[in-house]
Amino acid sequence: MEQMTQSAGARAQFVLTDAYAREMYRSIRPRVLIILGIVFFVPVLVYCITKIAWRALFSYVTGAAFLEGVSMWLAVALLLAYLVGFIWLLFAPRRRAKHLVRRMHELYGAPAQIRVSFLPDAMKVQMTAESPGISLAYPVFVRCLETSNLFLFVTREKQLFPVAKQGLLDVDEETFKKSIALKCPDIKRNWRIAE
Amino acid sequence: MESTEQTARFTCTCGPSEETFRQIYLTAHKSWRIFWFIFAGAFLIYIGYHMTNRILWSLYAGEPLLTEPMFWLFIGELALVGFLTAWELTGPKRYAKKQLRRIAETYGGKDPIVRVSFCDDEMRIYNEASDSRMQMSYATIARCVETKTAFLLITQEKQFLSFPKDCFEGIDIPGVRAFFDAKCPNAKRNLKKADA
Repeated sequence: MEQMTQSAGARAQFVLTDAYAREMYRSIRPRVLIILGIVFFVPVLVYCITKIAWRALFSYVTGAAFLEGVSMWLAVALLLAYLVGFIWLLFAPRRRAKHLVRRMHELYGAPAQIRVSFLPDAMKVQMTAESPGISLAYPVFVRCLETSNLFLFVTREKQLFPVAKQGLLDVDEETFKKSIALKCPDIKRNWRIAE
Repeated sequence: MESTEQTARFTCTCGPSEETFRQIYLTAHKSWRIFWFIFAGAFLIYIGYHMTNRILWSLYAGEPLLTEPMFWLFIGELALVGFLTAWELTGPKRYAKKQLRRIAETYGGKDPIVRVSFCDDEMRIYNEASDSRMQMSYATIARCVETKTAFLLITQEKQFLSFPKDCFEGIDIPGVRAFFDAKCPNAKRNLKKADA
């Protein structure tokens, strides 16, 4: 442990809270899927709403049955399916975050206190003070994201490793970004431009 | 480590395998898979009936089939349901491969052998690859499932602990069943009977 601390470049220590986890999952929302979903489903949604509104007006004026005909049932079913799917996707980060925090609590008996050390050739992650942790060589990372409170490292197999900005020890954010840029020169980064 | 072994009733030493992850996927998605296959079956019968009718009618009356929008709608629905069914059928294999790749990535290609000691009050889990230890109380177990090849313990937060049947040391399979029966009395159990 001591040896590790001595050779570590930057270090971070933070508690993985619900807010951090939510921010983490929000930042990796599948944007392409969301855009495709909007492009494909908005016309369907407009069609369904128009049809339902028109039918409702018609049935109000003439007293005819509202849900008459297959296309009316189809429109209502499509609208409901779209709404359920949309709400499900909208709340996905919150749901996943809660789940993750509860799982960590279940595993470690307390909120997970994550310690991350940036060694010369690998990133070392410890979930408890006692555990020696796991080392991930820098080439396994394919993306680094910066959000308002986190730096998020994404591996080739889509594993997420968050580092809280407030938890950075010994280094400031700009120095940290520079050191990561040197260690992982080829990965996709979306660091914010320093003001 | 020694003290762990002294108090343990029995142990289980195993590494990750494709079969383990397949069993986990099948157990976790059982209700969804049953629902999907019933839905897809009913849908196929419905579509099959209507398509046969359309084809017979077009043969009998000589009406062109390929210009009918309903025919293409049926083809589209058939393709969608077929694709989703194929996706679900290949789910266990895809999940298992992905988990194995993730493990290889996390441990740098080392095989993470896990040794679980079953004590009277808790399970003690030791991961050789990361040299980490943790404890888990039996009270957190919400379900015990026995499959052909393994025992699965599922926690309240839906975390899966898998124990292949051929990896137990110091106990036979009926003994393991009886142990889980006694230690997880509040968990939903579908363990096989002693004579199964």
